[in-house]
Amino acid sequence: MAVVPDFLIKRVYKKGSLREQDGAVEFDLKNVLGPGVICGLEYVQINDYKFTKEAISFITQGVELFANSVSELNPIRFRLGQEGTMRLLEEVKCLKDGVNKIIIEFLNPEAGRMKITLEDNLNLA
Amino acid sequence: MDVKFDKYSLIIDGKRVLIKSGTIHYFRVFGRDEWYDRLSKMKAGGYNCVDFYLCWSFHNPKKDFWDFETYKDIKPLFQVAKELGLYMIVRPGPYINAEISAGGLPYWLMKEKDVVLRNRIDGDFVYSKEYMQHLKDWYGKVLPIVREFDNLILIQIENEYSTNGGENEYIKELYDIVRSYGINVPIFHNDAYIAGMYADDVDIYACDIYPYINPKTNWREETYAFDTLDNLEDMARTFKENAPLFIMELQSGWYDKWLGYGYDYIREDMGASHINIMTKTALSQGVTIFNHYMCAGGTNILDMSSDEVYTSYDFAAPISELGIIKENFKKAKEINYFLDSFDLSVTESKEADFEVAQNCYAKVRKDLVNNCDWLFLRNFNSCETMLCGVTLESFDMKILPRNLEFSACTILNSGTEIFTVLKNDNIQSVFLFADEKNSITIKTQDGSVQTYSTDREDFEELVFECENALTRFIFITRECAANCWKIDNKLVFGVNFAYPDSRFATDKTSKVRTYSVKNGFSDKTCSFDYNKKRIKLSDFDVYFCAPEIERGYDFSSWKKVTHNHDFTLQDTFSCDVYSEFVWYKGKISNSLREISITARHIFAIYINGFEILNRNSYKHDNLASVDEHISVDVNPEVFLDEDNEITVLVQNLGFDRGFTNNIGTPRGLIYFKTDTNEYIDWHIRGRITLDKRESCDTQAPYIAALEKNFQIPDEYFKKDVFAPFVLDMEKTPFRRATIFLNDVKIGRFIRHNANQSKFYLPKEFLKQDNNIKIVIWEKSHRIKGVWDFKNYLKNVIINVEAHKVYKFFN
Repeated sequence: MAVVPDFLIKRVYKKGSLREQDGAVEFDLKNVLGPGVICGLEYVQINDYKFTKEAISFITQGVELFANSVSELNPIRFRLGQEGTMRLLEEVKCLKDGVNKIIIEFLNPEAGRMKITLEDNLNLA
Repeated sequence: MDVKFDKYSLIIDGKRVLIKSGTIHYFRVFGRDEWYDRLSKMKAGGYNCVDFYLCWSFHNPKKDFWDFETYKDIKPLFQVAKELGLYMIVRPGPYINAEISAGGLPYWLMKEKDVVLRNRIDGDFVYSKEYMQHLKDWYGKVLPIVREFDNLILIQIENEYSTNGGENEYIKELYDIVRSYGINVPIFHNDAYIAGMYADDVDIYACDIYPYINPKTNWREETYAFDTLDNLEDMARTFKENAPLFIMELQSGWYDKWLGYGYDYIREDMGASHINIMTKTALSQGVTIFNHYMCAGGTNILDMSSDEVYTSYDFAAPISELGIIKENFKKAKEINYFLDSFDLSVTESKEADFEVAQNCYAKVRKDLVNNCDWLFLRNFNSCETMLCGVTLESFDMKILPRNLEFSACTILNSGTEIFTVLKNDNIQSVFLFADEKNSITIKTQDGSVQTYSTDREDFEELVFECENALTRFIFITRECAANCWKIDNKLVFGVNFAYPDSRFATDKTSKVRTYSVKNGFSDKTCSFDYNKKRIKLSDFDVYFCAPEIERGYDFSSWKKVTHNHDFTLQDTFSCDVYSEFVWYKGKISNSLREISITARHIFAIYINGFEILNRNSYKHDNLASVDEHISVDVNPEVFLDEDNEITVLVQNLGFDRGFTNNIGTPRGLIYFKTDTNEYIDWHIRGRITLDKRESCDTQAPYIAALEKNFQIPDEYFKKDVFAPFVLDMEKTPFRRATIFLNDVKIGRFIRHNANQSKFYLPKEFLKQDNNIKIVIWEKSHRIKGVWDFKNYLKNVIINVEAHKVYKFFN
């Protein structure tokens, strides 16, 4: 029922997890809020570059789910405590040193279109 | 009342109490008689507390006008709760949600200068002194009344409040206002996000738990939805360590929406197992204050409902809209009676010493009062499953004792649950559920241990006796327990419901069995001699309404509204003309050939009295109304050479409830553009004129009223009868109607948009002599002229019937 306010939904993002890995941009999420359903991964924007569905996947519980296959009939069930990695599969130079702005837009069957806007430093480790 | 608390429970007047509460909306269940009925059923069903939202807009519909008369008087409501020995939780908002229009905030408030509703714009906190002043006026009206009642145990400030920043100062200010009225009970806020919101700003942390929010999904398969409830203790303890675990809204039903599934479907889908699992899982997490939301359904009368919901707010609640006891009430009653016997107000979580099967859930709690352990076992498999040596049916949950001492023996282990215990001095009668697949192991005072089958008939007994003590186990089936009520340390079997004043009711001639420890069983036959009454209404008076449609109607005195350059309307959102029906009239040229329109919610367009479009649908998706942008061609034949008039009638089904979307989302005519790009000087006014015109000047009639007087026989008003009446619109030939009972608007009928064709006639408004008016908004294309239309309506048959009839006995 709840449509989660910004400052709460940001808690899902694992601070310091933004990185480049094997030619992709990655960051981690952990559901610390409550059981949720994602029926659409619309886009991820890093700074000025927007990754569309074709370039987004979400790896959770050992399974890689591609954004363009996520729908109301094939939703991601993101359970309380569950972790996952968002992978952005385009080789573009969108990351910069210092603070990076990240926007994630997704769909929830009850709440509709939802957007998380956050910032993170690039993890060079 | 002195209310304290510690980490385990509330302590009321020095005594620990586990709070078993349920919500009823007095703004949907009307008047003292109905309040007495619903609250009596709750009390007799084992609830010890009732929750009341106080609805600001219900009492303050116009600026500086306050209404606390008749069914809006909250004093008798609180008095009934007090008389029945129910504690009260009161939630005065200011915002309450509750699927009420504007979340309970008065409409006029939206037009007040410098008022920022809930101090929030687009999720950002914007403090408004003016809003706070109005809020203080509201609190100033109700808190002095609330303070008079010493059965108050908890009070809530705001409801499900959040901003993008999570403001604390506003919550603290509300806290201080409540305290300034001398209200000393613990104050809480209800967190919809289970995120610890404002936990540091209130005395006790409380939250909502709603795993079932989408009837489309199968809750028995989508078990992830229970994650929060299954981990509540760990989560909530991090928010507040030294307060009891409190679920303010523990789901016990769900609301249906326009174009929804209907309450029959939701009730069937949730069944009794949902409330069973919800409540027992909450207890397994150490919750000692729970509130079933809703406990009793209600009716959206007047213009109270938000745009999402239709007239019935049955909520698939344990007590239905009509006051009928449902299967989920019977299950709640079972749990409440168990808790009456074993107060689980002081328990600690304990490591489970057994394997938990797949899709199962298990918790063990050590009971520091009864000095035993309780096993909470849940089976989410679609087949019977064995867990900790206990056979569990699919989607069942049980609370089972371990090492529970009675005066003459001890239950070491049990695969069956305890229904309730009656005591008289040193004699105990323990009612257990007969269970063909499980057993019970009992140790007697001399140390011998024996396992007994629980595969028993109703009222079979196992008796254990020792020096000066007797413990009698009496088995009953679930079916038998469902119709068993506990009154005055007695059990009454075979009745539909009971009141705490010792009366009970049946809907047929029944053999009623009573048990007390002192007198054992006794039987009597209760004779029932009532029939379900049906009153056929036909041969209606028919008259035409809404002369506003006609050309030449004087609208010069109406409020003016102008177009913006983009053809949206500047003052569409006009709370000062707020009404279910809003008229827009203006002049147009005779050269336009196409109209584009967006309106909320349902509307019709007329030119010179000719209907151009009648839009009968209304979309609501993803928690928000979905605007439809419609274009329609205009037949040139409707125009005159000059002085052409356009009329738009919009039926507004309420404001957004304000949980997800802005409360102030405009209603009425939102956008209106012609192919000739005309700027129309719109004139606007609320309400439909119900004048009794025998004839109609328009080429075809559109809005008409049916009127009929009818009587309800005296016998259905007797004190020993409970008979809720409904109006059945199922077989009517029209699509849309607004229903008035004795001049009170009690329903909106929109065929195909709502799964509702029967409308409850609330007892508060139903008299022996009644008048019913049904204003219909319909144009059948088969009907060509005024007389056809009139005859067509005159011959409509509508039934008024007693949905059920119950007779009381002592």
